[in-house]
Amino acid sequence: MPKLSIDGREVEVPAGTNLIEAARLLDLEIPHFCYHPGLSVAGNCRMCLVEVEKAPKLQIACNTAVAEGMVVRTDSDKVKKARAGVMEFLLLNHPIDCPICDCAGECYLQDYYMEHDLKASRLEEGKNKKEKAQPIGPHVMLDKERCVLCSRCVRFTDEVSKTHELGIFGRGSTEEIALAPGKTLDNPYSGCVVDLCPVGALTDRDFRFKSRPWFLKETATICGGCAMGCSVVLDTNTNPYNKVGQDRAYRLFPRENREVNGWWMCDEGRYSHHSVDRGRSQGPRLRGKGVPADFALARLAAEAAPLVKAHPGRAAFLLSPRLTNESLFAFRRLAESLGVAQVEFGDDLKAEGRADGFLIQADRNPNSRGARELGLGPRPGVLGGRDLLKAAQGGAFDVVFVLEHALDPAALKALAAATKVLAGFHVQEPVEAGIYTVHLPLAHAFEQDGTFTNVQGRVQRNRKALEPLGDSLPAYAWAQRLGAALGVPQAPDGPEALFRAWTQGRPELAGAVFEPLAAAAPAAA
Amino acid sequence: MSPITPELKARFEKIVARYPKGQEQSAVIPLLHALQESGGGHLTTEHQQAVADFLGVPMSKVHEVTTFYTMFSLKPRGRHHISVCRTLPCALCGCGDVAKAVRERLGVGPGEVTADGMFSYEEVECLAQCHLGPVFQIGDTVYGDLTADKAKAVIDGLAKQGGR
Repeated sequence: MPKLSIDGREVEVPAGTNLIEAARLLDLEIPHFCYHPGLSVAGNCRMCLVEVEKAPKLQIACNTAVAEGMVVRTDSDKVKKARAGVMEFLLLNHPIDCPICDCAGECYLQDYYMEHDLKASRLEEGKNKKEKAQPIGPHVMLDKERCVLCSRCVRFTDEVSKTHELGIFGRGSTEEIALAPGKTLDNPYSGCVVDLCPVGALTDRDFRFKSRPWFLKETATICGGCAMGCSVVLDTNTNPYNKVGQDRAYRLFPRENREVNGWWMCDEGRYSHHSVDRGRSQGPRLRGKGVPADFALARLAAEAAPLVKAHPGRAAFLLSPRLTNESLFAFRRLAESLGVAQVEFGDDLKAEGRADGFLIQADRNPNSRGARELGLGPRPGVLGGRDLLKAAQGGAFDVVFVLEHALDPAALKALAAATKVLAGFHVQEPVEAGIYTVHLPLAHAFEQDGTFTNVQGRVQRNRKALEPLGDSLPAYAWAQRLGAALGVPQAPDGPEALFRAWTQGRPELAGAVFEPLAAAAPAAA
Repeated sequence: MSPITPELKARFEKIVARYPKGQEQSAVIPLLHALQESGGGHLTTEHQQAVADFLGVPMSKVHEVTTFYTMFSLKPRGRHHISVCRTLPCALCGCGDVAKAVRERLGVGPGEVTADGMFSYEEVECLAQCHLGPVFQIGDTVYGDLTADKAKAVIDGLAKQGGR
């Protein structure tokens, strides 16, 4: 591996590494606009110029590979002057409309101006005028005046989404990013260009003008939209004074994870965060009527406990691939202490969509693999989801617990008619909540700690970003309260203790820790 | 209907054959020139799409080329197309006055065509005739050492001729 020196500090990196990445290993940031580790090198912004010993001119760090004995300076006067010059050109026609720009606060131009430029404009002529606030697709707005023509978005549509909607058209001062004739930026990953844009040229139509980024709290978590489990950052804002509307979750964007999603995520996942604030089930219901949780649980226990005790074989739990490993484990343990054998996660009832061969998986649930690995999949002696429903509709069960399954209302009615007690647990308020004897609200994945096992078998940490809405609780907490009400007290374990319990005796997970020492920070690409 | 006629297709194939295998997209500029010549002096969206499909490249890449080079026009031009150079050497030699004179004589702005369809006007980047600056190009002819009066005289001469 070549050894080189950057600003007098030695570093050894694999051959082929460029200088920006090599400097990153020394915690040195070489400023750049167009370079992105997930895209090809364009080398057009000239911001990353550095001094390389024995080279007659400054070199762009993004396109200079390391070499043995290379001596690089990123802090010389020559470099500083070059950066100030590049910034002056980039800002020449910039509208400086930061007060009304969504990107203010997370803009490379703002940061680099403070760090490398700090000069007033010397332009005496008027600035170029270009089109502003143009919707170029269902999710993205384009402001051509703010653009620095780094071409990250163009390279994304060429290299990652391979949809080729965008191009750099024109020449000289009329050069601009625009849609190719007859195209709109409408591909399953279109939102990624907003993350890629280093300035405010591409903004998210969903997030526009909703909140200033400095009011947002970042939580590094996992997207629960499909079995891929992309690493994401969830931005939340619970202060009523500096936001628009009542929503608590503001946006979701990908977090670098080269093993799973790279730097990207799909639009379906990106805008799924609205589910944490909209259509939620918030209060316990007894035959459709809102009641306090203790009352609902007491009535449920009074009706169900004698039946379960008398015939554990006539009770069933239909769990869900949307629950965390910890919640699945807690319900499995509850069923064991009740002597109920019919515990299954409904693999054949789960939501499916179309897979695209890139990130989007056909299985639109975050934890099918985790549920199978916990032994909750189809197995001898236990009815699978569909068979269970059929048997229950035929009167094979007295008590059925349904967790997070959007069942067809007709099937649900038949189920309710054939069972004595039907208990439901859902995140979103079901239309047919009144059909359940008792319905209890579940906390959203963003409102609880836990783990999901993705399609690759990777156990990934889901982090709590918000307090559960209303009376909703994570499923594992309901399992504990239900156990107490049914006369089989459960250990009052939190998610970390449950994690330790279910990973015990799983050699492939030996040494796994629930809370890493440093929670992964969002990627600065 | 594809704008590529059988004759044009044969010409396209001959042009593409000049480039190494696997680098057929290098032929984009000569193909666009051939299509513009035969297709009435300008390139429509269908023309560009046809070239993109012929070469198997995305439309955006063809459109990048047609919008970069002033030799390609995306709109109909006049019978005489006047390209005034506005790059630095010509600017230092006074192309601003020449451009102003042309605009006044024709009564049109950049990218516009006169009402009678005789002239169109455009300001372009370097025509590589810096030693003659200020220059403009009409058709395939470059006129150098221009002044406002000389420029008007050239246009008057063409106007008198009427058709080519």
